[in-house]
Amino acid sequence: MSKRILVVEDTEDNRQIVRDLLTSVGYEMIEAVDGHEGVEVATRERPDLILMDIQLPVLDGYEATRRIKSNEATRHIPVIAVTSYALSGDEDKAHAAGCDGYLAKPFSPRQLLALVRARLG
Amino acid sequence: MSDVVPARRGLFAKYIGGMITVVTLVLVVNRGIDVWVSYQDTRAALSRIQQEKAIAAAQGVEQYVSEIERQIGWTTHAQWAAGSIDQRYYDFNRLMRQVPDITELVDLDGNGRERLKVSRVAMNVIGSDADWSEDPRFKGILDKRVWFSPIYWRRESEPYMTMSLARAGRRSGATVAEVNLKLIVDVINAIKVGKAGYAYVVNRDGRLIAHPDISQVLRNTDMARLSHVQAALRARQGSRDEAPRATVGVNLANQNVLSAAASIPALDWLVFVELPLNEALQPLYASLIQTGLLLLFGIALAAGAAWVLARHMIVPIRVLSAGAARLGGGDLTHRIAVRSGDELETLGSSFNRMAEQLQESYANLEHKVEARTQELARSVDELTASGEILRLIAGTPEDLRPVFQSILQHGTRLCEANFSVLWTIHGDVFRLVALHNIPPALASHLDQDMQSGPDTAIGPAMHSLTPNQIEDTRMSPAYIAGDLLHRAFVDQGGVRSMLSVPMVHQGELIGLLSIFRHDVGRFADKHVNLMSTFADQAVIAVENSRLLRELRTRSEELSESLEYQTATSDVLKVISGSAFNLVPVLKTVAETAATLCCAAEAALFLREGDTYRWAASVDSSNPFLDAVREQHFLPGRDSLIGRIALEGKLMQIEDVLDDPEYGRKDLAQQGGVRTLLGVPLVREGIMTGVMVLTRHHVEAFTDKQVEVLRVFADQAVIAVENVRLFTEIQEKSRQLELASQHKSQFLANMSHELRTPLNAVLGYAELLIDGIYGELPDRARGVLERMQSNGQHLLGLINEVLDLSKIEAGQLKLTLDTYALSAIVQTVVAATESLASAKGLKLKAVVAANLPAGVGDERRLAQVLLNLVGNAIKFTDQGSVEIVAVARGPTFEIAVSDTGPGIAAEDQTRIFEEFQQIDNTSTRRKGGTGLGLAISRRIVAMHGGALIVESALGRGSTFRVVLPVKVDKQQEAA
Repeated sequence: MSKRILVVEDTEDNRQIVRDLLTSVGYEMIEAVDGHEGVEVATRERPDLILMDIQLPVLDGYEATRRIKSNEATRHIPVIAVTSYALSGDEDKAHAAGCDGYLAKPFSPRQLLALVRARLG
Repeated sequence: MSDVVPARRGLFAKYIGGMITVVTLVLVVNRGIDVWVSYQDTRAALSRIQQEKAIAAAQGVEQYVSEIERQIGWTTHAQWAAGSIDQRYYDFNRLMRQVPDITELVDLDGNGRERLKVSRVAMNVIGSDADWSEDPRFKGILDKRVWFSPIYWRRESEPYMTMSLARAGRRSGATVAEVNLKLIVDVINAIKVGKAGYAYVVNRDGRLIAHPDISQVLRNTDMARLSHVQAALRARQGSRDEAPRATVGVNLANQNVLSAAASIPALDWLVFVELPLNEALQPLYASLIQTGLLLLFGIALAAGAAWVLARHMIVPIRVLSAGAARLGGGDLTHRIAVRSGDELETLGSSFNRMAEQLQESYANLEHKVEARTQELARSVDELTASGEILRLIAGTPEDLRPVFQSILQHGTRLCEANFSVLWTIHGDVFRLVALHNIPPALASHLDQDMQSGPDTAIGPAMHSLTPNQIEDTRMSPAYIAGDLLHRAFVDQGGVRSMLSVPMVHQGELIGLLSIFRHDVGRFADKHVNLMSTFADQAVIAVENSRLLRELRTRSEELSESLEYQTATSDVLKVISGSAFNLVPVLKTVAETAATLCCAAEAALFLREGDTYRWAASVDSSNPFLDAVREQHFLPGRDSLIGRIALEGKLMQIEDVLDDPEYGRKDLAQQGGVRTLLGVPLVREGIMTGVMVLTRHHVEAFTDKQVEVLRVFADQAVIAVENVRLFTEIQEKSRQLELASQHKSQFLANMSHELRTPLNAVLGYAELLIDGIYGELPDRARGVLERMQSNGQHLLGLINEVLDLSKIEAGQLKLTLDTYALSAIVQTVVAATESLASAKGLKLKAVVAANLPAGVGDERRLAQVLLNLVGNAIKFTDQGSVEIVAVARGPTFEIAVSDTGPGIAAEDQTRIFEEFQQIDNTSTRRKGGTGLGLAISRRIVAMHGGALIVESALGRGSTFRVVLPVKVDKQQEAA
């Protein structure tokens, strides 16, 4: 059974790119467009990995991650934070929120794929 | 007078020393040469004798050996050999009895076979037929008649020698004899050399063969260790022609000996003859002792002679010396008595003459000194008087009377006059201002002013401006002409002679000094001069007093003006101190103006459109002031401010109660205001306000006060203007700051917004290139790749704009943490290596060992270094790029050097500005935004460091980052 990856991202284009990329190499991708939905889908679907954008409407990525990580049922799912401002301190914040990895925007699809493969094999 | 210097060494000692030195020198040189010559002679003679003795000894030894040879000789005759063996045996025994030196005799036949051996130390053998044909003792005589073996030793102590004698006829055998050389001693002992001399023999190796002390021989002593023996052995081996000489050496008993050697060629021995040096040189010593005695005798004789001579010279010199000492000590009556009849006596006489002359000179001098002393006393007297007068001038400069009194008193006394007077000029007449010792009868005549007609007694002095004296008053023209005052002086005052000295200042007569005597006669020149001096001093006193008065007036004026200036500068200080707050400045102006111009109150009013309103005033509870505070003044005749507004010039109302047009009389009465002054405040020809001063009594403000008030008014204008400008500038800069913040915020937002779609474009492009959407034709792939690289470049530009705007908006925060500088350098090298090698450049990094851990924003510092290295690679076409990182005390220094085109001095500041590159063509050629250096510089500055460039055209460039190792807080980015 192929691995499932939850991508929480509000920009359609970015979702499209990630979708095309991941499906082309055989992953299954599920999507959420804001932080709140992201938490919901994660709880419901229990994906193998979550790519969490940080700047999200309704609930931002840090908060969403905190919620996922405070839930017994979803705690184990690795979360990779994707930040758009590559500001110093973002990485620390991401770790503080419970993220397991960190990817600064702009990233190239190759970079993303490498990171995902490192997590899921 | 200094004392006579005592002689350090007396003449006496010098004489004796000199004589002895000379005699000793002569004797020593003379005898020295003598001794040396005789030594040389003696040496030569001794050497010769010694040599002869050696030769004789050698001959003796040789003879001894020859004797043995001869003894054996007869056994070599052919007929003897042909005899029976018994016969030969018998003969050998006989021979050995006769010659004790022979120890063994052997008879050999022609083939070297032993026929017979007779020995003292072994068995006698007959016909042993032993084969000697290869023995050197036999072979030795094959080519000569006699053969001597080298010395050899038996029982390690006795010298032996083999002697082989060939028999007559060819190969007819030989007689071999072993000879004990111990017995040569007798020969040696027989040789007599002096008393203690001796001779000895050595072989060619220096081994002792014979010596008077036989034990030395028995001990087989090696004489070659003695240096002179060795030398003789060497000489024997050397040239035969060289005449051997006697030498000095050391013998076995460690004695110095004179040694001579002679050789015995046949045996190759050397005979030495030695004589102890003491004995050899005995005659020389005798001669030396004789010389010494002669020297002592000579010295004694010289000392005696010198003593006699010196005594003869010294006695008169001592007399001279003692005499000269007494004369020198001041006893000029002393005479020196030397009767030696020579130069010393002449010297004595010269001293005596000198003493006489000195005596005379002294007598003259004493007279002169006495006269001078008297003169000096007078001068001192005069100087004392002068000094006292000057002291008075200096002490009481305002009051002239004590000075004049003192001048008259001293003048009268010093000029031996009876009384004196001093007049000063007042217009045309002279008025008496001081007098001394006036006869009472004259007193009534001195109240009147004195006219200065030419016929008066003082006329000549006044007109010529020089001292004038009348030797006999009764004969003077003034007396004859009937000058009343003069007649009174003469007839009632008893004046018979007088001296008048004018007091002149810069060619102007200002007074007159007269002294009078009761007797007829001339005043001496010195008296005239003295009085002239006193007159000059009187002038000084008068001038002094005048100047002092003037000075006082001036300084009063000066202090007043200083007060004004101080006030002005105080006001200016307040203006410059509070540029943004007008009220305290205007209040200070008002207070200062009121104080300085003796006004009761002062207030300032400023114009607002057509009206004037109160702005500031002195603190006061005056109802008048309270009232005007609330009022608006319009141009009009009813108020001072209104009038000034109409006419635009300074105005004064001397008494408001007396002014028919003034409309606030009741208010003025309430406040007690009488006089009003208004000064307009004018800026660039436009009135901006009025300053008003009040007085509670009627008194107009003086011109000077008005002048000062105008200055204050100007200052008030400046203050108002200052505040206006300051407020304006503040407002403008606030707006500017806001605008700048808006711009930065806008840029930050915009770059972020630009990045989002660009990321999507780049992401799709990459997916396309990676074939996610199916295989692409090559052309399309090429286009996509170019699209991607352009997009990356655009992203880079946007990122830099974002960085810069963040810095400008103050949004960029450093993450301060520990970092390793070497790791940063490694990262940057790893990231740029491929770029450098693509351009064929060498990229080197030199990082000092043991760099301390730094504290700063690692990512930002890496960004700076990446930018610098990237630039260096971008702008360098060949050569190398080098990174050097070191720590110097509390700072890191990271230098990035390249071999690129370099940067001209005038461009070196420009490159750090935003959007600047050296020129636009290079921007186009090399790419980039021109923001990198601006950002780098700011990042370094935020770390509290500096980014410096060192470069010249054609010399490459070095960018140097200097930053603190430990950054504890983020700095403002300049």
